[in-house]
Amino acid sequence: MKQYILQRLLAMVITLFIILTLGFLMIRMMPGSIFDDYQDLPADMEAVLNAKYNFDKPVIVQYFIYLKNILLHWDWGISLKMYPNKSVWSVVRGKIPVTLYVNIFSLLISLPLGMLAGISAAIKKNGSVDYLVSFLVVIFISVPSFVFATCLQYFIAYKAGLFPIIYDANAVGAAKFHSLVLPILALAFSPIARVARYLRAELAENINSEFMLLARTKGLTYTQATLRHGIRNSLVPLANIIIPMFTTIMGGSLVVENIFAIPGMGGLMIQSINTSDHQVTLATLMFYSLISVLTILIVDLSYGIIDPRIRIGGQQKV
Amino acid sequence: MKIYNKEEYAGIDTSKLRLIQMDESLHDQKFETKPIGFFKDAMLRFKKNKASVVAFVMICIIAFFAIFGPMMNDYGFNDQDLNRINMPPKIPAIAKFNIGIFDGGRVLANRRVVNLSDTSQYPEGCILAVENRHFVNNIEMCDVTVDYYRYSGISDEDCFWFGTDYLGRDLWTRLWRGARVSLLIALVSVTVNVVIGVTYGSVAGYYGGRLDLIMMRITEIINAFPNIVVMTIFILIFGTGIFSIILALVVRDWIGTARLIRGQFYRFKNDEYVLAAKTLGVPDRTLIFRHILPNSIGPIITRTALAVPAAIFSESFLAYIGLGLKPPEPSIGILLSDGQKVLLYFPTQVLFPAILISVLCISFNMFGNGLRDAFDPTQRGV
Amino acid sequence: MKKVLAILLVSLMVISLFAGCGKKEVDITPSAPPAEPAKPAETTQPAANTPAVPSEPTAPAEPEKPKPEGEGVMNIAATGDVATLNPQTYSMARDSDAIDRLSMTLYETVIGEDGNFKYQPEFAADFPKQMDDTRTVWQIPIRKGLKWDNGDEMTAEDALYTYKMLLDPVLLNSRASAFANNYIVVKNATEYNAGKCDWEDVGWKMVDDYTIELTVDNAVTDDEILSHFNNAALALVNKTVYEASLNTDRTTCMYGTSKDTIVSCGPYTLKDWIEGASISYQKNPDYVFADNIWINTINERTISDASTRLQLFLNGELDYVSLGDEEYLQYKEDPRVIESNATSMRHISVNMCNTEKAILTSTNFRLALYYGSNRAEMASMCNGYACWWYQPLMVIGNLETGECYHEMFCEAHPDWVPANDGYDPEKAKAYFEKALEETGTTKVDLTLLYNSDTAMYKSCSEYLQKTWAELFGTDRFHIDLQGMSNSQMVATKKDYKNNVNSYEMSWGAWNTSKLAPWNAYTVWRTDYGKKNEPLSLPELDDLWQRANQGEERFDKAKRLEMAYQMEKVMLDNAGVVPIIECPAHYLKADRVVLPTEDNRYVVGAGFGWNYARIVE
Repeated sequence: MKQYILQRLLAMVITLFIILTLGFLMIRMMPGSIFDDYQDLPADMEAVLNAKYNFDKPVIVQYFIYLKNILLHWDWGISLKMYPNKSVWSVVRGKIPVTLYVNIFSLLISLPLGMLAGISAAIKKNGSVDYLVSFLVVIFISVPSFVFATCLQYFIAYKAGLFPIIYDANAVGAAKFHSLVLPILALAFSPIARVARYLRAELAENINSEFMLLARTKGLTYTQATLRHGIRNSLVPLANIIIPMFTTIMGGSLVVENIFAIPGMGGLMIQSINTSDHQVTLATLMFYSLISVLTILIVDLSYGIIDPRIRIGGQQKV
Repeated sequence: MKIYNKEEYAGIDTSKLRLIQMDESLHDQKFETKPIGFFKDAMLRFKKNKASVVAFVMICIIAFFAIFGPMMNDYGFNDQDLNRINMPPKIPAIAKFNIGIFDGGRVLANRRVVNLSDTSQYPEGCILAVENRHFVNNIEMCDVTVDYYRYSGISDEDCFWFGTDYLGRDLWTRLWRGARVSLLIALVSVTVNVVIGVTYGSVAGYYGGRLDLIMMRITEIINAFPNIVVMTIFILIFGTGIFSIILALVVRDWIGTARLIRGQFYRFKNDEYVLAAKTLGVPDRTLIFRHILPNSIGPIITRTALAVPAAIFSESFLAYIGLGLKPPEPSIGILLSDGQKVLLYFPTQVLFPAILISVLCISFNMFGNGLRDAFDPTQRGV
Repeated sequence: MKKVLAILLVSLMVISLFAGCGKKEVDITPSAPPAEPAKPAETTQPAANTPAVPSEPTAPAEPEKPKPEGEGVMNIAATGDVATLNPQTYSMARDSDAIDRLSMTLYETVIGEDGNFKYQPEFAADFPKQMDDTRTVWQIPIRKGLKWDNGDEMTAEDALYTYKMLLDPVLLNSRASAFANNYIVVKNATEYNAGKCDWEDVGWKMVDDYTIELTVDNAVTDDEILSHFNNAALALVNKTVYEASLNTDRTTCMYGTSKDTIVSCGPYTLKDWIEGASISYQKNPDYVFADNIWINTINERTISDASTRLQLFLNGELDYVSLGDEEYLQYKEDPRVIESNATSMRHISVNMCNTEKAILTSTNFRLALYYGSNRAEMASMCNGYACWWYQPLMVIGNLETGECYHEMFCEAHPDWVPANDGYDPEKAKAYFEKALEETGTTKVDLTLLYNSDTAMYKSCSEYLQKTWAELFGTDRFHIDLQGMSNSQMVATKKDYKNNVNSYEMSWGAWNTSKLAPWNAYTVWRTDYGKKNEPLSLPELDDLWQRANQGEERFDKAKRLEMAYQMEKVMLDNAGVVPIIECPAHYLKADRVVLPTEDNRYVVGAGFGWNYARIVE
């Protein structure tokens, strides 16, 4: 097991490395020069500027300089257009906490609610609860999160006045959570639906299996058998879904952050692409990649913990 | 099958129990029923599930309208008329009932009361109701409900069943034409996704070890790039157009299927029948596709069924960021993104595409559920 | 199933029963306004309360003055957050608003007593003095007794240090040319920036602690100097904090990147700054014109979603919001709406250097497009103004009277004004035929790029796509539309310098000088440094040269006439195809009273939010 973990960690580092390289090359190839905004730049000034920021050197050399700066000084470069002269790391660092706050709470809320919905739908399969849950599931998955966000904001915050209309950056503790309830909810609907759907499907399939029959014949009631034996088996594909869902939630939080005026990571990527601020784009890309790769690693490791049948990355026996 | 516990068994009238088949011998007796193949069996089970049948019918209805809808009225999909922009929907048959929907009425908010009697602004007979009178800076304002068709000076014969958009184009025609394009894009991209995903996942899952490691790392690398970056670059290189949109939708979506299949393979590849087949010398390819893969038909079908509306949403995402089909060609995604901008002011422009997508979503979901239950090998004969 | 049907039928019948009692008489008579509650004076008494101005003849002597610390809080919203407060590196318009609040420039534009804008010496004590007949040496006196927020005294040394750093050859600030080469060309400034000479050679010297001498390359007028220094990029920076914010090898400066690295000397001081979320200002009681500032605190929050802003406004948490197109339709008749001029003229430019499609090189083709565009219809669709001219309406032609340049043009040369807003289908078809003949093309098949960030571009593009095709013949004329984000579109257009075929047709909008129309035509010149499109009209270049650098420009009437000539050159050649101007609309709360009595937008000075009053 330990060897497997080490192997995967090494693979993760290599993956991140490749992503960084590919990202660097791709972004350099995008059209547009950073100095398009500079007022009336004479040609020789442009040469001097390029020399200052190392743009005149070949791409490979630039890449190595970039790499060296990250590894030795943790210097991700300086933002040239979005926040002129600020270091990219300080820009990104300021925005990560609130985004993580919203996303993690979303995930945490969606798990118990989704599991509850899925289990109750699967137990009374094809009953009225099942139809209701299925219907709601489809609605929650198909309607994009920003529609929920807009409706929540309009009806609950504006008309009813129960929660603040936008996020209050000065608040701490309970007041901060109070102003973030609506965005957390808006982002949680889709994960709740997904969790419910998969759990229902898996549980419904498992209820027909033989070990459940055995549990019933041993004398357990329907509920006991489901809770003790059925659910454990259904959790296997669930881990595969829950943790990558974190990445999906992050991706979807862009519009929600916009609507509730949350200064988070969401808009940073798109804004940096639009303003051709390459350093920021790369740093944001690495952040998302890190989260994505980490979640996949956790999922694969969790396979081994949850399901005893799958302990290791599967070498072929025989 | 019901399992009786002690109390329930005690309450049964045991005189009604009778032993069957004790004196006769069964062997060599002819079967009285015909054998049914796998697919026929599945169809029977499918038909029993009412919800799935209804869903299937809905899908057929939508497909029918997608093909014949635009021809049902006289408006073309690109007939612009700047005097008829943003009209509300009006269906004469329903308008007669006077229930307040589909009658071409609209509430104009924040209008000055003094202007209401001016017939150049509010033609004769178009004002239906005046509400919410209040004063702002000593000027009286109100919300006035008008018959928008009379207000714009359109005769009573012309009506737009679903209203018009920001250029005065009929939304009914655009919606069904868009449904055509969207369904086409969705079906093609989903098929390609599933084929690639299943093959990739099964190969990675079956062989395991080093091959699996490398293949999964490749998917991680592709997955790590956020959607928008990949799609932007794709479209920058290949331009827009149906083909490149399908490609852009395919480039990342197969990864989820592949990982799912790989997970399923890990569950089933060490079962005894696989070992038995291997001992018999069955080649790898047959093992993968004929023996192990059918266990995963359930998740595959569920995934495929919900992937169709998801593909339509992805295409709508492309339309949001301006990379969708070239105007003036509509698609459901483009209609959604155009309508979303005016969600709070002309809600019907987003309502109809949204209802269509939701119905498609629900139908495909139910249909997929039904198919999955029908094709589940563990339920054969039940 | 049958039960469900039955229930459905019954409910339908019930509903129709109720609906039947629909038609009642609608009452549209206006009602009497409510009795006036005892409110403090609204916008109806302008003169007596206009700050720092002697009152009307009938009113008593002493005008009303604001309290030293101001009164009231104004809450506003910005569409994006303030990126930096360093005047030497900023690029966003909202940053310049923030810089204007926190710092001073030598000269600024304010709203004068007559409601027009006027130049006012801010850090300077008086207008520049011409020192010799060549008009190349000027002296600028500096005010005495001013202080920075941290106690540092302000002298001419501040002006010197600020511009020395702005032009620093190692820092290479993006705004360096705002000082070196804008309305005036400061002697050796560009050379110093390129590292080719010393600071002592630059034409910006201290004569004594409160006087500065300016030397320029060519003869200039005094209003050119005023326009040059009325630029947020030339705002002053504090030497102590600036030096402390430089890194060890002096290649980057962190001035203005956070709350601790900025010092104020302007109308407001920085009270708080949470990056990405909000920024707040407080009245600076030591500001030289503190008597014009009435508000105590301005809170600005970053809210990018338009409907969120509107909801906050309706809830009373914001004092003014900008209205998008659809929202404007809802509030068109609301008395709280105020309008500001469009900042630019939106047009379609044609890549005349394109080698693949010969039709694009033809002037007749552009003229055909010009006369074939029905601007009035597009304007009514987008709530804008049909625009057939080349300088937007906000450009001022006469600095003394504040008259609009475009109206002056129409008055001076009525025979140059095209009929029907420049829409003439017959003429268009004639030009089109000529264009086809001269280039030997039978079918026109082009791609038009549009900005997908703003809805108006898409709708106008689709409209033109259809109407042009109908006008010229659908078999001979076809356009494809391609949407992209704004920066991508600009980058693609600019790429024509490397790849002549980078684009075929594209939308564009230039934002140029509002106070000097003869200068504003610079964007259409062949040699313009920031050119986006390959337009070359030698007549225009010649006229511009004479109007801005030649001797004739000292005769203001002649200069204006040359501007009119430049407009005619553009009209005759259809350099680009102007389509529409889209003004901006705002909703303003009643508790905020603007310095102009009718809530007018004063070109050059804006609405004057910094000088507003809170009336509860």
